[in-house]
Amino acid sequence: MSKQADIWQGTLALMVLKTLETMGPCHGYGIARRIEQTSDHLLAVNYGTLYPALLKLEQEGYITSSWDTSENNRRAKYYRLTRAGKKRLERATKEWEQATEILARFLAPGEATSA
Amino acid sequence: MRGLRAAWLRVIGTFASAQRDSDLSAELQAHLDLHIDDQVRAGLPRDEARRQALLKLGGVEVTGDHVRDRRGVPVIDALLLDFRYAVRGLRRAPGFTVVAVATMGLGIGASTAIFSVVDSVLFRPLRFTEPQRLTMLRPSSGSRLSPAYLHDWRLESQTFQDMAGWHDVRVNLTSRAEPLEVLADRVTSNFFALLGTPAFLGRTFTTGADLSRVEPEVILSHGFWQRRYGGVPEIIGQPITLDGKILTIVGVMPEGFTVRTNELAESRAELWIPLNLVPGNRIGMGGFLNVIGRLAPGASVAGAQAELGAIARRIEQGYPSYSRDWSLQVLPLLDATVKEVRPVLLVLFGAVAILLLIACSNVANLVLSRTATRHTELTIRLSLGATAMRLVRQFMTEGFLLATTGGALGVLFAILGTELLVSALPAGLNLPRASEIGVDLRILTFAILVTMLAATLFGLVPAVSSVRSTRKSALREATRGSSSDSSRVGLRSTLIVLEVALAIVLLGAAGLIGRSFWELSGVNPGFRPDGVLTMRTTLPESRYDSDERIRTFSSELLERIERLPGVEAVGSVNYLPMSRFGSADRFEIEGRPEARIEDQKFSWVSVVGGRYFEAMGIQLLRGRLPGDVDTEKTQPVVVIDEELARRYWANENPIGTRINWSRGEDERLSGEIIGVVGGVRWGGMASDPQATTYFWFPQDPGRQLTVVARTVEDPTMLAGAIAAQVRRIDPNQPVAEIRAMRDWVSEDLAQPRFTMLLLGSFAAGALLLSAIGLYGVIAFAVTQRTREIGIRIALGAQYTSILRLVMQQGMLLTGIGLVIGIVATLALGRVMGSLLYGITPTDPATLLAVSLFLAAVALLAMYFPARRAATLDPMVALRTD
Repeated sequence: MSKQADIWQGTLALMVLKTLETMGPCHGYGIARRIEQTSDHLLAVNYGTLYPALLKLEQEGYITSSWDTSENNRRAKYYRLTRAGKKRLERATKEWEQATEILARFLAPGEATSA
Repeated sequence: MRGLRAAWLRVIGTFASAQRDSDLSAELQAHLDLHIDDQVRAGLPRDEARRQALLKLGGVEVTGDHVRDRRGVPVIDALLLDFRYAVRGLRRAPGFTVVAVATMGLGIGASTAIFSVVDSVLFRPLRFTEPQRLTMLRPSSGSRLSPAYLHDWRLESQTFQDMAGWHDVRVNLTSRAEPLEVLADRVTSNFFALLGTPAFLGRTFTTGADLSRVEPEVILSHGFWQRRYGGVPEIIGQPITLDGKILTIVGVMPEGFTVRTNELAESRAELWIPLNLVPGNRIGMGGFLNVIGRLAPGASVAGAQAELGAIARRIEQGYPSYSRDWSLQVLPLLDATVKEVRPVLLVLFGAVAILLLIACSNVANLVLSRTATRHTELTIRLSLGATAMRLVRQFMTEGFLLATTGGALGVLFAILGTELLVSALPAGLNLPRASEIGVDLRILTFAILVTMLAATLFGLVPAVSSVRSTRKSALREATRGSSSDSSRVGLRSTLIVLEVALAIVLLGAAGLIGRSFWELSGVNPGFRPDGVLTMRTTLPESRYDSDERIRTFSSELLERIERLPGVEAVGSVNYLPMSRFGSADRFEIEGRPEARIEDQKFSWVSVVGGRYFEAMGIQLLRGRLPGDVDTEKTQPVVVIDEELARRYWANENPIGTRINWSRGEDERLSGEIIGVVGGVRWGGMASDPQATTYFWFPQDPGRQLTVVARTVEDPTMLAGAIAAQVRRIDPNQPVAEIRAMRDWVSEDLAQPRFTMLLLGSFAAGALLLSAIGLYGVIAFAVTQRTREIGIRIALGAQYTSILRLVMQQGMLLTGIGLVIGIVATLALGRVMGSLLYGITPTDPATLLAVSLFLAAVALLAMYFPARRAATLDPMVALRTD
């Protein structure tokens, strides 16, 4: 447990959007589980921090929510991606890839001095 | 865009929260259940599964808080919470809340009401076009101007765009069944155009550059149109008969239209008729015109004054006999209008501001006591981690709530109070612009400002003092509430000293005004007003065109009234003392060298008939009174008063001397002095007796007749019978102002009486509030020291020594307050000076009496809590905490 990394600031929203894109409509617990599983339990999601993030995304109009019944027959609030959310995800993914690429180049040994 | 949308949703979210709360807890519950289900499926026992799920979620409450913070705007949330706390806290202390809110309400209400009067009368611009360019032109001596000046100034002045003149007249209206005397202003035809006020109905006078051409037209005031003609618009174009002449009604002015000059005869005109300003009309150079001017754009008052003065000097070149020792005053019209009432209004405003201050300190004091009782609560909250800022905010919210509730109540009081005040204005007060007084946005702004100040005071002061003291003492504070924190007590004591000092200032002012009023009422006006009925009638030129007719009317009228049962003596006079009308002229004493211009002799002139002196109760000091033996065919006679005699015949006997009068440029009159009578205060109780010469009506008849009848019983009972005599002689002749002489005197005292009543009630309010404040402080001290007092009593302290112990503190505070108050009163005395009669603003007797009175009230206020302390049961006292 103690070796798990905390989620970096600002990346949680991206993970939520990506999860919803892959899994389709999903409830908060499901999203949290999915993030943990995808990260191979390297990331520890404090489930509590998820809900304010969900609310923020909803307020910004990237996701919507509605009540539905879960696979094991429990009432739960399901979140789904909106069109704006999809666009946001595309853009954010691109940005993220760019950022990691730059950072990767920057950190690669020997590369930094060659400029 | 997204940010904006989110922000908006959050603001919304702050308010509609109950439904969302249940939604949120359902979601979190579902989350837990799903998690537990998973864990149980993985083989954990249900309890353990639940524990882990909760851990992972970070607690339902904490997570809920996070979401709630995100949902709404935390600051607003906290404010709402503070607000809710405050409401709850105040509702839990209804006594405190009611007293605080009512005190604030009265304070803000009274000050706002008075401010609305002060603002409407003194500060708001006059309701004319570009009023700042309007000026009043008058000689510094205060009398009026000759038309010659107006004529030449109009032609020559560069600093003025235009000037208009007017004077008041009484005209008899006979076109309707009941003849009626009305006040009218005779105005030059450019009068309305100069002011820039259009007619409400019809039109104003048409005007050209030449003011000597006038049409037989008349304009009605709004009030007169309503009263006399029922407000029908068809009145335009109708004829009206004034003084026997037929004029056409061409317009009605809007409500409240008036030009006030606030000198002897202020305009309460019901009609406006044109004044013919004939270019060559310089007869006598006598002044009878009020003159207003509109300055040219950019011209200054000082420049205008210099220019007009120079022109005036030139005019006087042609009239060597005319006085030159006068200077012209050019006053902004607003100043001229309100000059007389400014000191009174400012003093009243100051008084009500003091009252408001006292009210505020009282409420602040209440808030402080309340804070003290919440000491334990605050300590606990601080130690539980509440930030000081949070507590200050809490206090601020409470203070804000108190002040705004008080303020709202105050605005309500102010609206009612202003109406009440305006309706209670006595007729004799002659407050200019009274019809314009009202509550408007400026007034409300004032109320809101005052409220905000009060809110800050009630919030911040106790908050800071309390948080500071709580912090200091949080650790060493024993559970027993026996500590009397020094900073808070210091603040409360300061407030009490302030209250007492302010109350003394107000009481002192009220005391001085009261004493001055008493002095004034005791003044001998020079006549005996009780039991005298007066009635005025003005004979129109059209029907009374000769002296003979006037004489016949007058003597028949006096005879008829004299024969009425209950009438002791009857006489007539042209202008009644204290009626604000009258005239003065120059004279020479025969046998003495003609006076130089600088020391020309002036005398107030009165024309009396019948047994005027007996009827008015004016004493004959020397010689004889004129009577039936003196007719138009015999030697003209005059009576002078002791003032004139003292001034010009200091050690001689004036009887038998002849004096010559010049009335206007060429009319000469002369008369032999046959008697000397007592002086009369013509201008009112506060004025000095004016040197007067009385002419004899049969020898110098005039159209202004005021009948004065001394009756055996209540004079008003004979009013009908006396007035009827006029109509018996001439059914078309109206009478006006049938009233007791006592009413004239009483009206003359209306302003000081009104000031006295208002100041008196403010002072009473101040006294009451200070007494309550003092009571509160002592009562609180007693509660705080209950244990100490109990121990003292248990150890054998006597009743009186406990009483002394408790009251000592209050006495000290009162004493300090008294001294400061007296010093302040002495310093502020100058302001009061112009309102006082017969005493100085530093009158020691009044100040001493006021101080003693306040000390007595303070002692009484302290006595009750002190007695409670002294009669404490020591056993009960020791057990209290």
